[in-house]
Amino acid sequence: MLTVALVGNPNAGKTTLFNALSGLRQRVGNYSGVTVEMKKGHFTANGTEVALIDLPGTYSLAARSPDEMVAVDLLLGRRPEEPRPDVVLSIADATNLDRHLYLTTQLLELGEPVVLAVNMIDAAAAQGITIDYARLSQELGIPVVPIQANKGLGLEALKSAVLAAAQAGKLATGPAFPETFEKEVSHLQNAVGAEVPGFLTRRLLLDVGGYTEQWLVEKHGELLRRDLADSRSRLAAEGCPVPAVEARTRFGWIRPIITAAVARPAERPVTWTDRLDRVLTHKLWGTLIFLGLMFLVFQSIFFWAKPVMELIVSGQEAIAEAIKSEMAPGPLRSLLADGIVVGVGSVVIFLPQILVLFGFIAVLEDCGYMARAAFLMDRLMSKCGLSGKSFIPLLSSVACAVPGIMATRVIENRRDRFATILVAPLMSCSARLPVYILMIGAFLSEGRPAWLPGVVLFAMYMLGFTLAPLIALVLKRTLLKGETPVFVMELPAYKRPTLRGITQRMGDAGWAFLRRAGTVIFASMVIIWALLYFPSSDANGVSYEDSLAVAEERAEVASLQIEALEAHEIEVPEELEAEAALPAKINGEWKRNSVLGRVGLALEPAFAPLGWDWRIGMAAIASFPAREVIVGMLVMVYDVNDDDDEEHAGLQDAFKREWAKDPVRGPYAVPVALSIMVFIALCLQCASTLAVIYRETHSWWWPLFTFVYMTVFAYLGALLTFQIGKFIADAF
Amino acid sequence: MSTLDQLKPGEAAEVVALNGSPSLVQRLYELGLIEGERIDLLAVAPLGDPIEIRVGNSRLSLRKAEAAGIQVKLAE
Repeated sequence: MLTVALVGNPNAGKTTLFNALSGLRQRVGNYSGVTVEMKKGHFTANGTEVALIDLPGTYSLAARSPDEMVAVDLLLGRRPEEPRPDVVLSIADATNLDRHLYLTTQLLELGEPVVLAVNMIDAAAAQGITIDYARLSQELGIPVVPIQANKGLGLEALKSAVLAAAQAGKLATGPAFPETFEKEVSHLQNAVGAEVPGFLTRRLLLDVGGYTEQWLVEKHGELLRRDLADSRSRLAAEGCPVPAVEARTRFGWIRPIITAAVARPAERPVTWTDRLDRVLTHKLWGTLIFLGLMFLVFQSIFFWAKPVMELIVSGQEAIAEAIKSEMAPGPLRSLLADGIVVGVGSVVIFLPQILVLFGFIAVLEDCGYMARAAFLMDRLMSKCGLSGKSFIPLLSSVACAVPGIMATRVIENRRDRFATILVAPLMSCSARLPVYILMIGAFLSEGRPAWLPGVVLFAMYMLGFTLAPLIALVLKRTLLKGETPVFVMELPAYKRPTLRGITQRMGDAGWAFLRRAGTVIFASMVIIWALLYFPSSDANGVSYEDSLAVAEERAEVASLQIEALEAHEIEVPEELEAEAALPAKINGEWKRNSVLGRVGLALEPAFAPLGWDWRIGMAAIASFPAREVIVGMLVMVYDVNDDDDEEHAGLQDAFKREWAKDPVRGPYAVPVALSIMVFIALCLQCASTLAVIYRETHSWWWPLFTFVYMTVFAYLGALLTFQIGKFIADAF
Repeated sequence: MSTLDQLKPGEAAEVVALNGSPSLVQRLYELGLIEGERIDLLAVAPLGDPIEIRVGNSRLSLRKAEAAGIQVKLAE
């Protein structure tokens, strides 16, 4: 078994090559202490089994973060999880060979055989670039194989070359650094000791403030820091300043080789990328196209996903109904129908949105547009300390924070990425909308100015849009403080995305969500079920389910009688009405008596300043795992009978009726409704989001932090809303 | 002598010197933006920042604050 590491610049076609070589035989490898994931795959070459590790795309082995260091350590065989690679497979873009070879020359110094795959030979040919591969191989001192990864061309030759390189074990020399530089390296090598590989000693000297420097200075103390500073100033005095000496040495070696092996047309041809960029990064047209595209993405998450989501909901309901009709009442039936089916449903419900968004992201990224979108939005996002790359994740979060947070993977800078993740749940997602509509419909529509509902709804969305950037700014200045990242970004040449690449990305995202977040969501739904189910019998020891079954039968008879009476325009007796409403009453009593109901009752003093009674409080608590259940919870605790219609007219009537009897909610119904809406807008009532934050940050600390800050904000926001509203109502 | 952030779309210049944080300068070197190289300014983003340039066969986006550290000599 051979181990091969695949290394290349971003946009060199690395992932395409990895997929083409390993097909479906791949899995994700995790590395302790870092957020990077690397894919591992397998292929067979002439009967030899080869393990392939896909390292994150990078321009250089100058590691600046723990994440980047993992790749370097892996290449040097310094990670416990993987053996040292037998061959390093370097992939380069044929249209931009000199720049891509910079990384290849760094790989030559690892002390492992290197094979160079020159990718996108079709694009190079289209630009009139011809490459003499034999000459290139001879000059570089390593095997060179031309390939076209998206069409699978040249892969057999590449596999054979990798195998042959592993057997030969021949090492190339690469560019020679100036003698003064080598002198300083050996001087530092004495200072750090022989256990530090020479490769890292060079990086220590070259990468000012880099990860190797941080690590070794911490280990060896002030003395090494001074040694290092002396070495660097001696090099500067002798005309070899770092980091310029590295670029000069490497490009100084590469350029003559390119001149010898690559022929380019004298006049640079105008490419498709030139033509497209003239429009797509244009001040006016570029902006318009960008806005149009974002609208399309946004609409699709909302509307393409919606029918599938409705299908999932009705499927879930049908299964629950089937279980209820087939099984005898009891904890097991309820666990299956109300716990497990609901739990699975609330995981699967996110898949349509995740797949749609990741389909779009895959297309936008694979064709090269994503970098343009970041370019256009960078200035706006820089105002809150982020970069243009945070725009799409935040916009997507308006539909749903779960895919939005997963989309932050396009942000390389760890602190920017975390800041984006932590504020994404503040964006008003589609699950909050039903609550807004319910409250606005009940208290802010009838007999009010026609513009009021729209303004209130807009204000709820603006709450997140204003708070998220402000909090991102605060986070970037406090918890996520650090060196200003480099915002230099490559705008890759436009490419035609492949269907295979897109479906693979969608599948990866969906699977990752199911595997990592699914379990947490499922578990929390089952816990909430238990808290609402137990105790399952009333004070007299009669099971609620039994009384409910009896009541339901009688209610059915009663409603038929009511219907008949109404048909003949005869007044319906009150007892009959009460009979029909009995199941809702029993159900409400059961939920109020449940563990969760008792918690809500006990916490009533905490809800009072928000203008809430214990019923609203209990519904709010019950919807912490998934905010979409709050409407259903309110229906239950307010004993509302029938609730099939979209507008929840029954619940709205119940609110008006019940609140009118109440000394607080009667006169202050509007402040209470607003306080509920503000709470929902700011609170992180979503186990899925927490699970995804955990999954993306690899730590429980960040989901906990997000949960706490948002809950505090939600409470204070609701408190302020009610108190100010009450004050205004009293004043007029 | 001027700096890269002062260039207008369509103008070209030659890199004279790089200044800025060590990580920025190192990244620019890695991307092939080295002394003596020719830069074409392709576009400026709608809100006035960042800028899009071409170095060799690469297109890069740089913030103006970063570009201000790059001294250039205007090509004719």
